[in-house]
Amino acid sequence: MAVMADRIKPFPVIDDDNRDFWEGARRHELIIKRCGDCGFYIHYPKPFCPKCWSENVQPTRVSGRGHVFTFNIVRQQIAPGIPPPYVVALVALEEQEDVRVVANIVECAPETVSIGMPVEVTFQQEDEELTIPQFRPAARAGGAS
Amino acid sequence: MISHRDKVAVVGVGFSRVARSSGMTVTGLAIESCINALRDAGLKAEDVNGLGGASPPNAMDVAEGVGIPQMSWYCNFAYGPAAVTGLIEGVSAVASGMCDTALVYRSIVRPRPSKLPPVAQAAMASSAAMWPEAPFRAPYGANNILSWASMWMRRFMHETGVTQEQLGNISVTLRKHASMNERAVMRDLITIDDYLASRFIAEPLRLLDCDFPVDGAGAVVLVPAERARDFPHPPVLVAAANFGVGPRPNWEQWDDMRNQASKYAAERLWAMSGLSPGDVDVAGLYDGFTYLTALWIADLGLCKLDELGDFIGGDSIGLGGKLPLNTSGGQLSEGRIHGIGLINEVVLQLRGQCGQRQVQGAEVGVASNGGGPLAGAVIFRRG
Repeated sequence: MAVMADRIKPFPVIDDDNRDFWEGARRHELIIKRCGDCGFYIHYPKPFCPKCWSENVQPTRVSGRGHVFTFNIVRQQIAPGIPPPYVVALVALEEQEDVRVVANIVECAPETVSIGMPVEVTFQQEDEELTIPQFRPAARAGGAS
Repeated sequence: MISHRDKVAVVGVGFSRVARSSGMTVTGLAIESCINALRDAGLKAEDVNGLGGASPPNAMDVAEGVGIPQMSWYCNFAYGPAAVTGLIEGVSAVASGMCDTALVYRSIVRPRPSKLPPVAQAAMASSAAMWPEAPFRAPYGANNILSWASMWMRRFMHETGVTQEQLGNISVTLRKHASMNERAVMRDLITIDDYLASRFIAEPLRLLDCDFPVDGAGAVVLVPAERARDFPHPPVLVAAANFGVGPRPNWEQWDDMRNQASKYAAERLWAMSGLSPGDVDVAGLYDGFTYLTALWIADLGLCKLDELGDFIGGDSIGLGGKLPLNTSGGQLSEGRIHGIGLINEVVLQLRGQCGQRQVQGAEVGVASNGGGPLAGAVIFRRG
């Protein structure tokens, strides 16, 4: 099975700010940093809370539910190893609307994606070391449409 | 507020050769544009003691290539709103006395297909060197401006009701302007049907929403306004220049996609200049993508947001219209030299040197670069 040295499509370069997110994905958990003092979710992750400057920033598991804030349909190859068409979306999380996670919308035709569509996280294993969060249309009724 | 209004003048502009394939390096193009700007100003290399622009190239290499013997100011910026970044830094250097004559440039070579093996291409496309958000984009085929800009474009259209046809009119109008500009790389007229038939790159972004990649460079010579009368061409004064940055300044987390960072550039810009949007005779607004230009128009107050679609969809943005826009053809048609072409064109308009595309009697112009979370703008007026 492939390891990092063999990857022919882009991958996340792990650093001290983003490590919790990717380790969480390997456990099939969506992890967002959250201020332990004021409760603000911090994405993209940083070591301090920008609202209250607390350093008490904790990796926090979120529900994985949200809605499509906006999206595109990539029709021309713009990334090596990733053939079009595919959808890239900003998913606004249920816990805090201004946390927007970048992901593909999977398990549906690109033409069926719309702004406001309720989605839920799913996990896609890329290789032995890497699993990435993805989103698919929410199974349950309702949601933030 | 300490003012830089009218303290700095543009006394020279220049271009390198601009072509799909120039046969020149990014350093060579920068040097060529700098030499041409100095020739335009009637200056020699030893008259310059400040030099700046985006890196690459390295300002030291450009200084050596132009033959500048000594400098007291330079700038090599890594990330900012394109060419106007160097111009804004240069204005602050001259206005503050860090140097007496500044040369600022932007040089760019279009990307070529990679010859690296697939694993090296994947590693390159994953690079987090510049952006902490890159790791969150890379595995999704989204670490590319075409991806994040097209998502902003969709949200902007969704919230404002601006249509594809209205955005397409920017592309069509600018091509008409380019047909009158011998520097422009794309000069054949297009119609709205051509625009609508152009392929989607990242839906809703079409090929003809995108600027046209070329190799090229441009440069500007800045001096204190009190010396501005001693040069061959009519001086153009910098009435105001600044950046704009808003809350959550990145492409995905930006709060309200009915505007962009240009909204945060506008207030100080107009206050500093002592002018208002109604004074603008000619505009050179960043057109890396058509919708960025639309956002600039509304954010600068050149038209109301709820009238934006009709404004860009009609004659207002053409020569003879209320806001002659990107009269060179802009990056969409003149070629993408990363904003410097828009700046130089506004200067040439205010000097009255634009031939058949000249806006008669143009006294005040605005030039801007950047989009999304990046913005910088300059208001020029005839000296």
